[in-house]
Amino acid sequence: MDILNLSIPSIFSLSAILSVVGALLALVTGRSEGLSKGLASVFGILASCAMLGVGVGSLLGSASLISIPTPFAFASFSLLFNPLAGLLLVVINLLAILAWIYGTSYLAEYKGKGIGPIGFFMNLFVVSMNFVVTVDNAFWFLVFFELMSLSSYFLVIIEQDEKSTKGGFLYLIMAHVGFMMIMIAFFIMAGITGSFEFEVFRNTPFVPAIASVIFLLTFLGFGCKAGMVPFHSWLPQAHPAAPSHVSALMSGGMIKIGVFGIVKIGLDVLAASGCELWWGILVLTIGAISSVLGVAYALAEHDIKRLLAYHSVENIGIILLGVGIGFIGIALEQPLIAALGLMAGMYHLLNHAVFKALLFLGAGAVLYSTHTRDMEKMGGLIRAMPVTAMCFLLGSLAISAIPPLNGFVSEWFTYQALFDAAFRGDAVIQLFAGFAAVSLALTGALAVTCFVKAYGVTFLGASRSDAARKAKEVPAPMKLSMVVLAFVCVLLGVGAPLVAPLMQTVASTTLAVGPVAVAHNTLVVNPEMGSIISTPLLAVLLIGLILVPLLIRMVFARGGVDSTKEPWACGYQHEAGMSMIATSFGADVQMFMRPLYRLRSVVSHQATRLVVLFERATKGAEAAETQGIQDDRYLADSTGAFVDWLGHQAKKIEGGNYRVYLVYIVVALLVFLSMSVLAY
Amino acid sequence: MTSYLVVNILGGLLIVTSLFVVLSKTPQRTTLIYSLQSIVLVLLLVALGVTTGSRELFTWAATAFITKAVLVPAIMLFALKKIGPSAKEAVPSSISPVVAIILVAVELFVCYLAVNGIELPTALGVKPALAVSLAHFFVGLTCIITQRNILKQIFGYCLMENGSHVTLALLAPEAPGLVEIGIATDAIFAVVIMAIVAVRIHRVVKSLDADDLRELKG
Amino acid sequence: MIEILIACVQTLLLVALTPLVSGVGRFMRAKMHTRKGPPILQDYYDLAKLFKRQDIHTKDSSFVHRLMPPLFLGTMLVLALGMPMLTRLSPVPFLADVILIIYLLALPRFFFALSAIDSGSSYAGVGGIRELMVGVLVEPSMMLALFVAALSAGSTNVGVMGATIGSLSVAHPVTIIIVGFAFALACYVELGKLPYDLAEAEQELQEGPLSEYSGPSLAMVKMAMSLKQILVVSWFIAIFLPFGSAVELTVVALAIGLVVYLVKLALIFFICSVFENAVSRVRFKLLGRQTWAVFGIAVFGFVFWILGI
Repeated sequence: MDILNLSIPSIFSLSAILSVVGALLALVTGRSEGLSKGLASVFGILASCAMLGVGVGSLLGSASLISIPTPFAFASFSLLFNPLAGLLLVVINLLAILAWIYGTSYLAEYKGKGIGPIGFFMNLFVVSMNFVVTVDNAFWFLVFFELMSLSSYFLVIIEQDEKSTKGGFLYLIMAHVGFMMIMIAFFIMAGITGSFEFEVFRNTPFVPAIASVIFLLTFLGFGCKAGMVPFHSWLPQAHPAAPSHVSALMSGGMIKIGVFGIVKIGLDVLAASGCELWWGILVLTIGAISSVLGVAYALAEHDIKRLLAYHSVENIGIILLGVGIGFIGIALEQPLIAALGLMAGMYHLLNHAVFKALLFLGAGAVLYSTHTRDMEKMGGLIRAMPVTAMCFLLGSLAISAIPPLNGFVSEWFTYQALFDAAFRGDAVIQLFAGFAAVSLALTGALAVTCFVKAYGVTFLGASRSDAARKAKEVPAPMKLSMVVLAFVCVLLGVGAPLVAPLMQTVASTTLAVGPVAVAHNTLVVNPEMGSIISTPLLAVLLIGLILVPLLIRMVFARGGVDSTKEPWACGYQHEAGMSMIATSFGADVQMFMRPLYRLRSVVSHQATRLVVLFERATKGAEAAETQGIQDDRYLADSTGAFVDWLGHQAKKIEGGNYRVYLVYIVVALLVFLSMSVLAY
Repeated sequence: MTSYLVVNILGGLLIVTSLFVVLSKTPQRTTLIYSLQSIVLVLLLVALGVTTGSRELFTWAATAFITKAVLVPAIMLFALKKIGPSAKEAVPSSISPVVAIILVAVELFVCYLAVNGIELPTALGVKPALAVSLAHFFVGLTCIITQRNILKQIFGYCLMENGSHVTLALLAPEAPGLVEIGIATDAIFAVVIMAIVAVRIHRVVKSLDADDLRELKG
Repeated sequence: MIEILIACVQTLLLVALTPLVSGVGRFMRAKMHTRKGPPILQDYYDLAKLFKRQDIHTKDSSFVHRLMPPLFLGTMLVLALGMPMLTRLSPVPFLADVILIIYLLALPRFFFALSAIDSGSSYAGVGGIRELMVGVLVEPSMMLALFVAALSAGSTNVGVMGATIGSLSVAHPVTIIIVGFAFALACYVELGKLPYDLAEAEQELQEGPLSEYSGPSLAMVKMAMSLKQILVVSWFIAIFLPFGSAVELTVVALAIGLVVYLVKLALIFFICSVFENAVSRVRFKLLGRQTWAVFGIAVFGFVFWILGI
């Protein structure tokens, strides 16, 4: 163990150097694209392999803090290798290795569009993510956080068309809004403690009000990065614009850094200041809203990559449910519940990284073969691309939380954490936990619908365009990456009794609570309620019992198989245009879930408003230079509109219907009642 | 604590019956359900009397049975007869049943929070029942607000009245019977007057829909 | 060891009885329509005949279309192993978690809808989407009802929940009754009976995907669907009506458990059947309203649980 601990920093620096060298070489040799791609990939893969080792080492080992002094007294270079950072390192670098391998073939799509810069920025992107999760100094954290945002921004706008620049711009603004909030929070802490070291923050108990402000700022700031509602609108614009393997890395890796930040600041750095109950409830509520809205909007998409991006919003929501229970458990002083909740969140973080990367790579493979992202123009790809289709199917099952795959296991733990919290908490927690469980159930059912649509419309049935008919299976490196990820999906699900204790270690070391027994032989256990499931045995039983009818059929059925018939169309001649397309799904869901889609126009446009605000501000500044004071039109306009609106509302109040007055009385009474409760 | 279990269960039944009062479509059915609810109320008073050993509660129960389970429904049925067959027509409610159910659940929850947050002179065990009784006030208001049928609005008032009854019984089981008789007769008179007004309104406007009464506005 | 034996026996018993249950259902429906109706054993004859027929798939279909029938049947068999039927506690506890059951029901639903799209038929496709929609609409209320029941029973295991409720020691009797009612309604929608679905008419309704199946595949799907109906009812029985099932694993207790189980099953299917034949089909568009009402009832139960009644 000693040797391992000693060598972790050296391997880490070796990996960082490899990445930087790879980045520079890619840029220098940019003229010859093949060479540039090769060099960037080789160095990137080597760096990530080394970093994967560091990650595994930190995940399994105990926490170690290394501090290297720099010329600036306030910014000594501190690195913390603990299980939480280790988990993130494993996630990021596993995906990075596979993305690099995938990229060797996939980048053929980007010939002449700047393969050199892609290699440069991707190396930079990976290394900055690695630093963000390990540095333990607020100053360096911000530096690498910014580097990560910028390098990914350039990857988003690599295609240089209108859509990608627009998406990229939105992303840049949202990233910086988040950055500002995080920065303010860090400066508050630094101002109070007089240091930028997280270790100093960790040992300083802040006044509850200050701690709450810091938590709120970091939660919202990192929330922008994580893509939770209401800061999600950049995700479906930025992720699809990037090359698919970068999307995989962003959706699988980068947005997890948002969650990592929330956990690290809220549960680790602020640990000495204690935890307010409402923090957890806020996280839980935002998580529940994100999960339902994310999947509901995904259902309305027929661009396959935008659909996947919306599913990232959903899954961030599910992760936040677990993390929220972590906060609630700490506030209730129930370490077991806290550990279980955070563990569920971390497990889902890992799982989502794997299956979302798999799905993005699968979408990339489809894009590579058909050159379209529109699902309406696909169909029947399973015949041309069997390997991609199988991998995508496994990914779809995993993300839909179908047992015994990995998505199910982490959602099961999330449910169990919610049960425990409701079991031990008071009325308010019970209420929120109950509705979080309901939203998770709704999310699960909608996710099934959404992936039946995504998979069915893309891979099954008849081909609906020439591009789909001419599609070919992708080259070996792309297949390899997808197969590895599909395999990991199965492994993380069926091997849950082995994985769960690891995630438990991450959770309990982060929270500094005692270990919790979450697995026993082949079972995974909720120690509080005593609930058990067993994914390995379930997998065996499922396979066995599916084989039984198959065997019976093989032995006894004598009729033979004929698979040449046209589908039945009520006696008419069947036409390809009669089959289901993506739009058919959206219509039904929108019929039943209309309120959710109405909400969308309210929620989604917040970020767009920011962009508009920014543009107005720049325009306003320009105008102010030339026209001077005259241009306060915006202010005047909006004030006028507000007055109008107020008048309109007042008219409603004066409607004269006595039942409306009664409503006011009831509302007022309810408000006073709740106030009396709160005051108490 | 367990001795209050029966009281609390009856409280639960009480809120279920009042939910049905809100949801039921025709005034006839509402009357029957209201009568049923009053019987539950009587049982609750009896159960409370047995648990606390307070003699007054039995007299309360007896008067409540006469006034609420018999007299009020009788008055309402009489009014319905006066109005004639058009009383059977269902006047639509202004919210869907789903919203009504969830609204009642929310009111119940808020009342529970309120009851939970306040130090009370009575035993802890009746807090659920107390929340139920408090919630009745809001359920009654909900009935008045959401139902367009004026007869059902009368029942909304009756629900509120039932709620105040239970609250009083839970908080002051030792109160003299005179108070109770006062409340009961007061309610009876209110119902009589409202029923007469409803019959009159129907005679003039030929409708029981509160939304058709706009001409009355000054 | 005896638990494993019980699990196997109850699964085999269920498989053997399933066509009988659906046959009786058809017979009763015919009687209520004052028709003569098929013989009670008709479904056995149907399955045997279908097994001998040719298996036809559409020309654009892939392995998904072929895999779905055995997968559906296999998943139902797995559920049958873990569901407490004769016994109070589950014979295979790790298969009896309510969350697992809800999500395990999603596995065949996923492939059912997928096979509908795979067939390329528009009728099958519409049916597949509707099947998914029913899942979306029912799952929240089902989850909330079970969430509340599990909280009052102190466990998410079907067997343990049944044992707590069966011993009449639950602290929240009103809650259990209300959520039991909500869960029963949710289960009824899952059964795919009128007014929500019409199993005989296979076009454009939930059963639509069946229209492209034939021969042994159709036999397997039909079998699996009847099995699912019985399992959903058994699920309800195991949690909310466990009275009479074997608490101890003696031969006498098991025999009584079996008889009581069959009586309960027959009674519930009789009630469902009467109800089914007394109503007309509800428009698919209106399904949402009714499931949200079920959700409202579950919310009500939830508040009652918080109140502690």
